[in-house]
Amino acid sequence: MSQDGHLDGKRRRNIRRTTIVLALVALGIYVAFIASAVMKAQP
Amino acid sequence: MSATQIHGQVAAHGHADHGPAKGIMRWLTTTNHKDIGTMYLVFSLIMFLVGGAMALVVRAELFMPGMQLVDPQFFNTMTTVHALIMVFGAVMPATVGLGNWMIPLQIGAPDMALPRMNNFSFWLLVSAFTLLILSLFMPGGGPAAGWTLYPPLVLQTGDALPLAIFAIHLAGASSIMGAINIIVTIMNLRAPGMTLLKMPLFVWTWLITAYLLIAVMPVFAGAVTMLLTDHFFGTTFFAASGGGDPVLYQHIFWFFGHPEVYIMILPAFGIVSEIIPTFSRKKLFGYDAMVYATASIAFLSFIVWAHHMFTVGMPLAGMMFFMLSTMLIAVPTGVKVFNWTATMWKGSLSFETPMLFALAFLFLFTIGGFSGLMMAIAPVDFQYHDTYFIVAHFHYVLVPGAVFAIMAAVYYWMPKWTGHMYDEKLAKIHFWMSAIFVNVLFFPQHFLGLAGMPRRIPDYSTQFADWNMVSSIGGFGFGLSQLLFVYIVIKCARGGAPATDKVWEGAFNHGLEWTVPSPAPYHTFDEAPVVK
Repeated sequence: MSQDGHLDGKRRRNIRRTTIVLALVALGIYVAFIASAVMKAQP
Repeated sequence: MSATQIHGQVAAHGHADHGPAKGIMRWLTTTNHKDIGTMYLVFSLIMFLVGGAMALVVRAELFMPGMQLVDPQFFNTMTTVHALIMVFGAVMPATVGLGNWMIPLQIGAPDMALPRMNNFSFWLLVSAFTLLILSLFMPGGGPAAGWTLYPPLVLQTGDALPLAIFAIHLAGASSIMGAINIIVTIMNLRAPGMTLLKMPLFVWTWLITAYLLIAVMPVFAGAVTMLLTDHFFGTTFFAASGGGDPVLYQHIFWFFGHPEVYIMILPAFGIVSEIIPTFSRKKLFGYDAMVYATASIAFLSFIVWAHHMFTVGMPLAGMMFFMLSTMLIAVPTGVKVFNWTATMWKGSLSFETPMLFALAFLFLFTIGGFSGLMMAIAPVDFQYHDTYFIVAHFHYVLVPGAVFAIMAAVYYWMPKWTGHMYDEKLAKIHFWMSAIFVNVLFFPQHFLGLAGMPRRIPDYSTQFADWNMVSSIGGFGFGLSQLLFVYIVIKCARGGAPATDKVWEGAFNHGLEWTVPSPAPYHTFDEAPVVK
């Protein structure tokens, strides 16, 4: 699909922004759960 | 959607010069949502057969009391890997495949928003399951602690543990990327005029499922990462000897594990919500309520996880909370079941194979739902926990639930994919064999569980012999029936009566996918349709 040629700049920016936000959310949840377990494991 | 009017050019025919590449490179490098959807579906079918073969090893061993065919360690490996393959390799990729194929077609998008990531997600999944299957051949055997991978038992796994954990990480990353792609596509590439509340239910259920995936797959990844560090790097997250807590793992696992159930079943709800109106020749009853019910189920799935852990022990208030919140899920689920029934009410019904599978879903998923409600009752769960009753319950939800919905979807949309009608006579034989054998397979397991037969054991008391024999006969019958499904799919892909663009008489104004030719051209919606 040669989609880039079909999408206007605003939509491309929206796609990029949504992707980055969702990826950061996923990464944040991963780190948060491990961090909370680390906190719980403190003596 | 049934009142939706579609204007404008909906299918591009001027793109013939941009057809697929030839040979193996087409499949390795494709970024086309239809190709990737097909690859996901073929992959999930292969995994379905591999995981099914493992289930048959289990059922063959349980055909009679006593040790017949395999040693207990291998039996445990089979139950574990069967579950991991069916959950992460068969059901989830099948719904992702259907989403890849149908979401762009249903919302009028030219493709997924992130096509290269789409390709990467698929091949990552293939790598994950290659690793998982290879782990069976490691010294000490494959993973054998159950799909929940509870410590400390799982930490006794041999060299297969890091391989299996790496496979789970890869499959999780693949799922998260797939989910991001689906959300980004739906939020950014809908055709002009297609507001959120005009989207087909399948798209809605997938959107909510994708949010669930992003919320819980990292949780599972975190849990198995901690297992890995406990095993190899001296941490004691889940080891009581070092101040850790094995129950913490169970909480984290089920915080992922319960929404995971809805990740598998919500797209199935979407499929049934597409099929029942088509073969009832009516609009879906209560569209808005169906959307809100789906969202409610997704929300509630986050606050019920400890119902899997009643027997671990918890304060009475906690037990009450998780018992009542679990029962609450029956409300939005009931809304769905009643709305599907109301859609059929006074409809002009016909019973082609997709409708038969959807109706079987309606009856049999409801049985699984009711047995789930029974186990939500904490004092009663103490008797059912870790018995064959739970095995019967979740198999009713996942096989005549999720798997039947996937089969219904394949029969429903296959003419659009291939341009050919499938063999209706053979498909009906497949349906009846599947519907009969699935009940012969799983219904007796309720009796076994109520009589006290524990799950995950290779041998059992002779009092359980009769129903185990019946269940195993059902298992082999169900497995053989699926070979007919494979034959029907191959036959349809190779030829058959030509399908019309609309395919089904009742598919009037019901989704943009029916406005493109059959088979769907390699490129569709290069000019966005306008939905009014």
